[in-house]
Amino acid sequence: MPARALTSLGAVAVAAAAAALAGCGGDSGGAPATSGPIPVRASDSSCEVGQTTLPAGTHTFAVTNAGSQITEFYVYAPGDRVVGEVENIGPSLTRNLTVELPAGTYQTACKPGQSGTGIRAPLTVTN
Amino acid sequence: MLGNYLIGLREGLEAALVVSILVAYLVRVERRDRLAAVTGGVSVAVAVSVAFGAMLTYTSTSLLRTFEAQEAFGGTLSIVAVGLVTWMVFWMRRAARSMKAELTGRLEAALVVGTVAVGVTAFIAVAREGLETALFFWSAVQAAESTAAPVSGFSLGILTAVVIAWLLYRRTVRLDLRRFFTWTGAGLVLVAAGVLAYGIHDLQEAGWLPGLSTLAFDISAQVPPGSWYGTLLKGTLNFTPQTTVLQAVVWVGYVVPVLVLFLRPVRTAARQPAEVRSAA
Repeated sequence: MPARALTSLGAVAVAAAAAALAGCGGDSGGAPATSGPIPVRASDSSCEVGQTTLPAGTHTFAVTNAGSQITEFYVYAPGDRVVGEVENIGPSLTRNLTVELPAGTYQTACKPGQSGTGIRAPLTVTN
Repeated sequence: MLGNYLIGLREGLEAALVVSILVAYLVRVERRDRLAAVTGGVSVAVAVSVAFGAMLTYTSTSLLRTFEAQEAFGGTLSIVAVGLVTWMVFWMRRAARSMKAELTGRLEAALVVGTVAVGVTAFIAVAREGLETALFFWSAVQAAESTAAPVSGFSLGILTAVVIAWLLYRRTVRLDLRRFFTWTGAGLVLVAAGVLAYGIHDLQEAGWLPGLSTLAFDISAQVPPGSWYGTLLKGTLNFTPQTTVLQAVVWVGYVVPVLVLFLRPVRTAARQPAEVRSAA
């Protein structure tokens, strides 16, 4: 009985996860990324984004934490609306953030220590 | 090293605590044979998370690659988790009352439903943060070509979380039954409240709910997120030093009625036989 309950439970769980994933992935098409990931070098006191002007479309930022504190990387639309974020970038790790960016003006931000408003820089996305 | 250790501790703590309470519960009601449900739920969650994290890291799949998709996935699981844990807490309370009345047949009936609930809860508890943790793990593995410090720090953090949960298990499992149910139940309610507030914050960040910048309080100067105590508070209660008004309202709106209902005196079976029969 426990074994059978377990098997069906596992099946339900996997099915539920698969359904959730399939549902979520549907609208992530958009324009393809133009080239490789955009490097971002985040330290305890700086935030160097490899490109500050981008064509509209889906882009991946590869954020490397060169500092000693845990950091986060954000892309903000006007009014500090979060377009994308990647949390928990531990020291000496690189983590990716993939976002779909329509044309407009944005801000990038690194948050060393995971608090405050972050080290901001403008980001322009053109058509 | 320390930063990655704290991330492992934080990500592992909540899941480890919930799972240890589930195990302690089954041991206390003398149903060790149902521990397979917990093992199964945890194993499936870990396997799905690690496999999916690897897929996202090493292939160009578009599933859950975007921030929005991950947010929707995490937010949905958070809300499902809160519903499940709340239901479980009240089910445990009912089961405790049945035990007291020595209605073994009814307890048996409760356990059939309970086994599935226990397994699903174990799964959700681990899967909720599992994908984020797996993505972190794989990025640490990638970094291991240059330095092994992140992987070892992270692994030690997870290990510490498991040890803390195990120590707590050793302590609670020795309590008498009434106290055991009260403490573990109240603990689960607080964990669930934190998960709910966390889910609300996710939805605020996604722009589905307003008020992201309307803070109830900001004590990040006193409780830095990178400190060990900030890590423990975040890992157990999902406490964030910057809490929005909406988060605070939802947290209180959940904790107060649920704890009041949970802690209300249990009527004994001798005096209220009809009540027990209908409730069990």
